[in-house]
Amino acid sequence: MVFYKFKDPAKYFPPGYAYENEWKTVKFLWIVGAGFSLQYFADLYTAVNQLYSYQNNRRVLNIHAVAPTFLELIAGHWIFYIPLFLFLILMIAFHYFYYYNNTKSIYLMRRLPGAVLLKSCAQASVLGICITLISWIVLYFLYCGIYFMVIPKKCLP
Amino acid sequence: MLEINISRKIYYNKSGGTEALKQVYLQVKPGEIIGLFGENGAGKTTLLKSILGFEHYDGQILLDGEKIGKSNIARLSFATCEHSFFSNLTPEAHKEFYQMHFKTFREKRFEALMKFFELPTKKTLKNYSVGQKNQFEVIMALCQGADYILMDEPFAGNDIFNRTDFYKVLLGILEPTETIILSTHLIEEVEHFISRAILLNHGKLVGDISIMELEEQEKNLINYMKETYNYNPFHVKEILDALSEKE
Amino acid sequence: MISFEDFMFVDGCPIYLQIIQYIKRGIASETIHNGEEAPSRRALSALLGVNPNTIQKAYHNLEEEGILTSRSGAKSYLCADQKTVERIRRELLIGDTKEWVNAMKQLNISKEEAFSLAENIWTAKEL
Repeated sequence: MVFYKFKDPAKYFPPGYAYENEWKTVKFLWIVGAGFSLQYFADLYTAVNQLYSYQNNRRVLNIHAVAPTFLELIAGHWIFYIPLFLFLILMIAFHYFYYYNNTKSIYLMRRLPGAVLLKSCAQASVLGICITLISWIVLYFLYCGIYFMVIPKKCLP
Repeated sequence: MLEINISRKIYYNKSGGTEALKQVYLQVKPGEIIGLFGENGAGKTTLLKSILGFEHYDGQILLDGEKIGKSNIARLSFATCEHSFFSNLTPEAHKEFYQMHFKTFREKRFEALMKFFELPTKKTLKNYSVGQKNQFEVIMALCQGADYILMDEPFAGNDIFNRTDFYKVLLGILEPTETIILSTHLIEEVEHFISRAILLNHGKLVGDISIMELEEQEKNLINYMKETYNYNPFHVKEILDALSEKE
Repeated sequence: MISFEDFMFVDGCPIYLQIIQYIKRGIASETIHNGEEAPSRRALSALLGVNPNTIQKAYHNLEEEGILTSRSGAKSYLCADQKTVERIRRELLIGDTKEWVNAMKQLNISKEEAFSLAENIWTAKEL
């Protein structure tokens, strides 16, 4: 899995930040999100079945049967990664407020040249968002491909 | 040279605004050791934070003719009683962090100070005692390699021997180009350590005198402060009289 | 190296003067010798916990009086030949005696009484 490419997550987070919980939550939301998206297959299954009817115990394709478009099928399932996106954005706020917690390390961060403060708050989230977007796109094309594989050519809208 | 020209600094709140600083104009030259004094709420912390750019103000602060920004902020360091280190990291990790971001980091000085104050370098800072945390905070401010070292009541919670050692070590290691601005309540203690005293009262600059000048006038710092703040030593008599009348 | 181990400064008198006094007394009582090295300004500043400006002023004054010389910038040496030692002793004796006399006068005691008091105490000490 793509997560294990990152040998040392610590460097994407603020110095000394206890990132384990966020890391776990992100992984969890990624998996759950992907899991929810599998509901697409339920809709696809239903759509495919509607193209056929049983005659004499044999499956026969309905004449003039037209399947819903891919977009219609995937509708509603787009949102499966939204919680993850929102959490990744929320993390940026968590990271920023970390510098005010306990000690005021914000005073150190604000004295650093360059965009060190911004980077340390946003790096993990930006990376996460990119990976999520890539996953989203990959799944989109995967599901799309499966759609075209499974729906008979005649029934394509 | 640090030129400070703050015409006004206002903190806005529900009931309007408080003038935290008013017409604070002063110049700080390299090599000075300045004691910044004033009652609680006088504006000492606000002044230091304004210099560092943590607070907005009306006016201008220039470091060698330039505004303080990303390009020259590394020439300022800060030690605060609120502590600005990372509690979850060790001093060793802090050294690496500082070395990564400050080209001027003084490694030799860091090792020497950690050793002198017997601070464990591999222990996480959250496990340090309050006194040790204060010491570490000051050490980092001293080792950054800054030209102007700002300290905001850094010794709250350290015993007197601790503090005395620190002043002495500071005097021994500071280079002529290093400048210290130290905000403190410990007037008598720092009187001989500093070269200049700046007094704030309700956000205004009410005193600015070199210790040498004080000596010439045969005054000590406390007396100068009493004069400046119009301290009435007989103020206490009023309440004592009032209380004794009742009985 | 001139030792400042038993030097403690007090309030009420500028420290640079106290340092000068300390060195002069050392010279007069011969605990500080001609040619002895004086600590560097920075070292003395750190030792005493006193701002370098103060040390600088003390050393500068001593240099003006010819008691301290700086060779090759960094190091300072005491410069007190027999004549100078005598002069300093004289100065200190006069200074101390003046103080004593003033103190006695403040207490409204006659010269004779003062001297006899001094004599008693002096001899008592040696017993």
